[in-house]
Amino acid sequence: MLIRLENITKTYELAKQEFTVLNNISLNIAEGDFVGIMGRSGSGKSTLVNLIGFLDKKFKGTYYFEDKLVEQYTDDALSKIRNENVGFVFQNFGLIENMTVGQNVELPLLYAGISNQEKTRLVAESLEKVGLADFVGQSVKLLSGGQRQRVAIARAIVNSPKFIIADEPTGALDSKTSVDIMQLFTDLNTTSGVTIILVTHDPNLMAYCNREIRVSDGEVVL
Amino acid sequence: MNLRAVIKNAYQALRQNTRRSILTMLGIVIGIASVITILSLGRGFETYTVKNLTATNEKNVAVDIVFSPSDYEQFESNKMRYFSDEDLKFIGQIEGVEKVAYVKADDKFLRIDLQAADKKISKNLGFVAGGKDAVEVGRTISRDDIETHQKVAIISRDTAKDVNPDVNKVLGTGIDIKGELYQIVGIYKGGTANLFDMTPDVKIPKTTYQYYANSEGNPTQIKVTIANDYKPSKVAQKVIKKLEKVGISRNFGEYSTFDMSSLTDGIGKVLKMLTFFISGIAGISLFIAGVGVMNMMYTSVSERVKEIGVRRSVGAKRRDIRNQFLVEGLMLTISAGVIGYIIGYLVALVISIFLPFKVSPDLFTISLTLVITIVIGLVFSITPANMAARKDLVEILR
Repeated sequence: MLIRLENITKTYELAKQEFTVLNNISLNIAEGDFVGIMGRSGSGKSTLVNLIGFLDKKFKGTYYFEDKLVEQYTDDALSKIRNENVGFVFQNFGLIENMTVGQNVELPLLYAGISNQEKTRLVAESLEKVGLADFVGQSVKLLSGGQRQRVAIARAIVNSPKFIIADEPTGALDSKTSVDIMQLFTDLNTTSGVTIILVTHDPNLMAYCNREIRVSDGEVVL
Repeated sequence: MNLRAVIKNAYQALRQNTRRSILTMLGIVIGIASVITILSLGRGFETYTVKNLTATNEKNVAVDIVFSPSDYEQFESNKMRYFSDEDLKFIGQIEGVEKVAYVKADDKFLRIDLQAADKKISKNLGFVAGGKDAVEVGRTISRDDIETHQKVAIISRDTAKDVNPDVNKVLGTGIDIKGELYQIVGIYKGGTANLFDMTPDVKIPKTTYQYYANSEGNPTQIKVTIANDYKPSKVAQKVIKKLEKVGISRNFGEYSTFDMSSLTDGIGKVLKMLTFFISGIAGISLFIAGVGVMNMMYTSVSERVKEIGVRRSVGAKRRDIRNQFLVEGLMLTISAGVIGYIIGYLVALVISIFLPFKVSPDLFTISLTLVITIVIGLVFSITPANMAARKDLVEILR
């Protein structure tokens, strides 16, 4: 099993009051899954994927990643795990504006310490997959929303991660572009076998997923 | 993340906000330039002064031993010797003495006391070149006067006024120079009343002076050259002790030493201190510029919170983020330092055109610039960089 969560509880304190964001969540995600995590805003779905994506390690319960316990890792170790295993696609694209498309895509490789030659090859390869083969030297500033999200996806897959977390990837895109992007995810899932965890509040997107996890008030309801 | 990528990255980040980077650098540039200008000029002046004070070009250190008689008259009239050849032989045998020789009295300028009206006045005594010295009143000293040891003198107008307010009556009278009476035959214009003007007030034939004053052949000083690896002051003390036991005139005066090197050392040290002090004041501007760097780094960090989040999420470690901002700060200060050094050096070079010494770039100022800029870069970037590195990932990705 790729990801196994057991009795995960996450609380935070605000004005001396304790709020529970995630309450006793248990779930499994297998390799090759296209999981859709559904829920209204404030349901705790983003907190859940942050936790799954090793961005947040302050929680109660046990998280097994590839059957290894996660919470004992240090911050540096988690950075390394993120670098090797997770690709993130954010609603607001998460691109560095003043860098070129190529520089954005190669970021994970930069921190992985991969040689220049290999880097160029991998960047070209992953840009090819998202259909932006000629955009390597292009400035991010000039791209449309759909193109930006493609760049973000190219960055997410450039280091061949174990899974991709896509947090509202179509939230800032029009419906036509959204379809294109979702098609891209589906292609990556079916042809390259990439595990995808899609977070959304839009029920229409569930059609693309082969599994659905519904989150409401910090609990898995489906 | 390799160093080349980090540096390239930092360069891009600085270029992104060119105006802000340049303005921040300007402070460092001005600070470094002023420090380097002062240091270069100060060091140039220091070497120039010390070199001028150290008259000899010999490699070995020499100390002068002076004999001061308790009664000058005795030595002048009885023709007693200050130092004898035997004294020199004895000194030559002392350990650590390489060479010993008489010091020829510098006969170019001498101070003499003149009896004028009712008070004593001190004047510079000089020697005539022979027929070439122009006079205003009377006649100049001729070649014949010099060859026949005539006791004649020409004096400056100022001196004449001192002797007798009615200048015309001075001509033909006599003045007493070291016990001999010289007849004033001419009055010349003389130098200004400047303290440092060394124009003689009284000029007489050198041959006459030597004939009567008998200064040549009886030097009051000897020069002891110290062998390598010996301490000049120690050897000088030994020499004086020896002279006090066996010196020819040991019962008629005192031996003493005048160590030039300690004087030049002292002056050099004072000049160095002064240079550092002024540079220190200029260095305060560097501190202010450093605060500017810190300000800029803080702004940069808070502007790029999103970038930090993205980098962290794709696998940047805390130290990667910290190093990124540190390198940016260092790049800013070091490049500003290099520009400041070049400007400071050029300014010093231009100023030195109007000064009697040269400035040259040296390893000390170059390394000082590097050290200062690196320290400023580190000190004022470390807290913003740490702030960037410590940012909570979940917070900034929200």
